[in-house]
Amino acid sequence: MKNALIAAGLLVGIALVAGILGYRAGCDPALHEAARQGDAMAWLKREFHLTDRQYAAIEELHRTYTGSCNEHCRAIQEAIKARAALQTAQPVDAAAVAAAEQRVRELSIRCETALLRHLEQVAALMSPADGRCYLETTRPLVAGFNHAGAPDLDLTATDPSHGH
Amino acid sequence: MKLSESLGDILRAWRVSPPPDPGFRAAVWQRIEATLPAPTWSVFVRTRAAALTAAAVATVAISGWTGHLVARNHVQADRDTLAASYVASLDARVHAGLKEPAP
Repeated sequence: MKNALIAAGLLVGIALVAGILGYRAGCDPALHEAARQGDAMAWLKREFHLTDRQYAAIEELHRTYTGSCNEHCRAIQEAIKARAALQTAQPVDAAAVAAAEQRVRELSIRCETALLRHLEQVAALMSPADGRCYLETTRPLVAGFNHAGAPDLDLTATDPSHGH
Repeated sequence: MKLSESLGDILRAWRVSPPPDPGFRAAVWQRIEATLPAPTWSVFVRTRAAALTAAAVATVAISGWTGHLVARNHVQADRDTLAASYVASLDARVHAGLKEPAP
């Protein structure tokens, strides 16, 4: 009985050591650190095997895109405000509200189209396989968002009120 | 002489038919083993070498694989978080509040 208990204890010890080793073999500390810091660009570089040159080009592309993104953001915010004003006005002008709704929808589509085009431009800077993988990862997120944390793209040329 | 002959006949004719007990043999061995000293660790291992080796190999395989799977799940969760953050940072609709981020 005593020997059986010792054997069972040894097996538990072996299980713990094997589990820890298996975990260490499977985890990615650099990726975890990037996620902890919300450093999306570090993830991008690592995940899609970017060379320093590709990384710099993509960073530049992001910086350029941020300008149009700011414009889209402002236009959408204005359209939302205009819609809200029309919705609360008395009497409610249904036609004007519908037009405002349409304007918000149009801006949303325009924003989505611009974002998808930007993603394709970024993918074109990567190797074909990584570019495909990049689009497969990012495209679904454009339609169905699952925002899980603050990004850190380190894009300094942004409007502080914009939220980038 | 006659008495001893008749006793002999009686004894020869006498048969005992106890009810069958399937646990009898095991109970006898249990009582015998109870009187023996407990086997040492080396004897214990030697006599169960195959079973213990199989148990150790299975433990290493199952635990190692489980640990690996847990780690891969964490890696995937980190990837998902970063990809979502990345795309959100580029989506004006999220910044404008048009699109509510999922909880």
